[in-house]
Amino acid sequence: MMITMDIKGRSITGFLGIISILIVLCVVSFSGCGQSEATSLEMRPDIIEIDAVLSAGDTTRPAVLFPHDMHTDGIAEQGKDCSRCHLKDTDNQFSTKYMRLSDDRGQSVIDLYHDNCITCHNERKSANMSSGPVVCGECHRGEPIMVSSRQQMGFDYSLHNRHETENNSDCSLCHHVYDEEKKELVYIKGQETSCRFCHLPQAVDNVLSMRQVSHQYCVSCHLGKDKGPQNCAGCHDKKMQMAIKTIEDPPRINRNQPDFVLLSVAAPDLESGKLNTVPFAHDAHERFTNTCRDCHHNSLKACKDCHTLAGNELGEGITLRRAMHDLSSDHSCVGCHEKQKSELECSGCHSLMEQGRLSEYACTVCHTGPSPADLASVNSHYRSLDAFRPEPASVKMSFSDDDIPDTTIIGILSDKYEPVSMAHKKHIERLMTNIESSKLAGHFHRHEDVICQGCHHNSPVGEKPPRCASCHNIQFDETHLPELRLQGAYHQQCFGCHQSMKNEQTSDCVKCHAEKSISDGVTSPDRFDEGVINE
Amino acid sequence: MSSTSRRNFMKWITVAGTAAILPKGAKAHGQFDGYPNSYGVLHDTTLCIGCRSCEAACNEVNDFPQPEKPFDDKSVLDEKRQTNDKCYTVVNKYEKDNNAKSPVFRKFQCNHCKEPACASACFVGAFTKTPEGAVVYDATVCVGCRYCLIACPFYVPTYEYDEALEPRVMKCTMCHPRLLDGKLPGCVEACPQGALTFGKREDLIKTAHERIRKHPDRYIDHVYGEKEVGGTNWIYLSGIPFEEIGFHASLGTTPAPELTSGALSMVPIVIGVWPALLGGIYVMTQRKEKIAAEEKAEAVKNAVDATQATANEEMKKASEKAKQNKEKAVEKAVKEALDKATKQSGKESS
Repeated sequence: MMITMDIKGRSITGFLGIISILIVLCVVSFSGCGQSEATSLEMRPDIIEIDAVLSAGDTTRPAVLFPHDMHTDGIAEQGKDCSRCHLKDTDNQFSTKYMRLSDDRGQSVIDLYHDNCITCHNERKSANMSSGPVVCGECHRGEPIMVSSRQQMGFDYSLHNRHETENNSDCSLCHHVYDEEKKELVYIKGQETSCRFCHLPQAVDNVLSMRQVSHQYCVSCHLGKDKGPQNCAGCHDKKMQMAIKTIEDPPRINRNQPDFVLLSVAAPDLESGKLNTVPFAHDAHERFTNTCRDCHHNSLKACKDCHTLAGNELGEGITLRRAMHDLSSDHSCVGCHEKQKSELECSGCHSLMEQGRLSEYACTVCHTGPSPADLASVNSHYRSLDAFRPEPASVKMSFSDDDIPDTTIIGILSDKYEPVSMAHKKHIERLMTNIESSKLAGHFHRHEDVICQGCHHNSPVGEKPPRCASCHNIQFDETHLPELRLQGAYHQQCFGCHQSMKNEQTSDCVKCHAEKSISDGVTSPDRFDEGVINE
Repeated sequence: MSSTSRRNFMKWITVAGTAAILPKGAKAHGQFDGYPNSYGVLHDTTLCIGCRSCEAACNEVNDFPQPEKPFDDKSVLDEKRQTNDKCYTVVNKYEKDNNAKSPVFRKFQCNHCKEPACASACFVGAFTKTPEGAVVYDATVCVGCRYCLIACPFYVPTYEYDEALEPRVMKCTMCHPRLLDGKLPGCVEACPQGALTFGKREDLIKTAHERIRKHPDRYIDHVYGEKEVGGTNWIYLSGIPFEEIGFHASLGTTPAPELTSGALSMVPIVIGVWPALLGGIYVMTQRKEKIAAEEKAEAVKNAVDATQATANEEMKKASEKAKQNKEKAVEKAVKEALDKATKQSGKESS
């Protein structure tokens, strides 16, 4: 009724619209300037945050970011050593604290810093040497001028071996336990463990934190022997870390650990344990880890000693089943194996598969040892269980090599391009090589025809797997929504695998689909005719 | 596409349409669950390779002119493009920050909101949310106000500014005519990667969540468009945060019409009430005048009638008197004649 504006009216509104938008555009284009660029921060691995007042509740000035290596160099320049700033404790070890032995805070510490820092800076300045700030705001900066690039440092088998060799296998130099009776640190052969199991991130009672203990002991030793890194950057700078010499395939650490073990439930659970034990090559797994802590996250005891079938306080309620199978854990068997699937050689097939999905025969891949009840009758001495070691694995086929087609002709797009000739056998051979070059892959691909399932998924394995077009329609079929049509299915498989294995990423059709030769147009298979498999 | 399956599809669409008419879907905004059985598209950006086949198909389906650079020219991907009145969809390329393997491609077009802002802003009702899920536009009723361009939270509708006579608002139709014909939207049909999946919106949301569940490392745990602005019929999956591939992350989940209905409800009042009010006043004035005229006429009539009545009475009296006089005269004449005759006969007999 009231919508009876004429066409001329619309045109006028249109012109007005154009003009108003032009005005808006002009305004917008003139207003996009004047962004100040953030000042770049200096990245240093040696920054220590000095916040001596935090516990006193007075935070009128920001904490000081202190570049330690810069000061070490400056002191060395003056011919002085650590004692310029650090006191020695009763064990003749330098304290990590500045000019004091205990972890004090408050006004006395503030004065200690102010008096000594400023005095030294002034002295250097009057001696015409490069010097630090002497006014408040240049140390206590609201907006920092440097930022920490400190990298966590830790031992691996290689570094451990280098220290072993250097110290003629005298483990007592580093390893110790606290003797409650003698009230002192003693060394017990065969009881060595990771520093981090006792020295936690924060100091507890009189047990120093990992940070304190490593700086006190490692640095002192390095300084005493004049070997190894002696400043912050030496251990905590990323580039310097990369430059640390590594030993290829270091010898095993000798702490009487088993070569081979039947993983089982703990003794009280032997009766109720249903699943067979897992023959576990401890020695082989050592080669694929960097430290014992990769698996033994809390102590060097066996998993079952803390993680029981029902779970208890010692194992933090985590049952043995979960401890071994938790997908999200770095310490569990399945969690670690799952992560290996993202390796380049594996990701081609596995990136297309559901993450963390275990096949129906997954249990029997590992649980192949004697049942827990029979364990007593088996000679359970660690080094004599070689009979249970799995055979070196290889990919098995239920059919002969000759039955594998050399090439597959895919002609679904043959109205636009030449049919694709997919080197079917070459793909299998490549996968075979990848699998057989890895013990882990070999072990998990030992079931018949499992290799075919990378592409021929969601269907029974065998010599003649269903064709792609058996499930993926060529044309849109509204009765199967939402669906993946054949072309998309092919491309997702091919691209998915090729991208994951970092071969290539392309949207250039002719890389796979040869340009159609005009004269040959007649002989091409019909469109939508899924390729014949050529021999 | 065989005719049988088209018939089937038509049947569905009819079912979907019928279902949509049921009161369930017809609630007020905020409670509106969308048309049941409406269709949509799931765009999985992790599968898109930036081949621009969708753009080419869209161009062909909608009979647009050929662009300056052909569709196999990938150099256009280097700039962030917007749709315009001659192109309903564009694919943009986003480089990953962490120098990861490959760039991410993202297709842009109308999202076909469950509760479209364009439709709520349009005071002539040029936009319709169809039961099939597409938001379609009717140029014949459009007055060219372009409120829809402003209203759209995704900046989708564009305008034919170079059209002097009958400029139209232009935006993706989700190939609504093709849907009714039992065909896929052009872009979905053309996508060689299966990066676009057509289906019922409800199923697509399930599919999207299933993909996230199966590949938690590949996807961000979020389906864009499931809840944004009350839900859209195009939904998206991504491997990197959506704001890094050109999505507006801060649109919220409230349908745009709900936010604007207060202000927009004034539009029909302004447009609708003024004519009604003025018209009403006019009608009232007219009526008053008419009544006055009628009253006057009646008064005149009454006066005339009264005069007439008096006149008639007098006339009647006069005529009666005349009649009486006449009768008296006749009587007298008869008596005189009778008397004369009696005297004469007496003379003759004597």
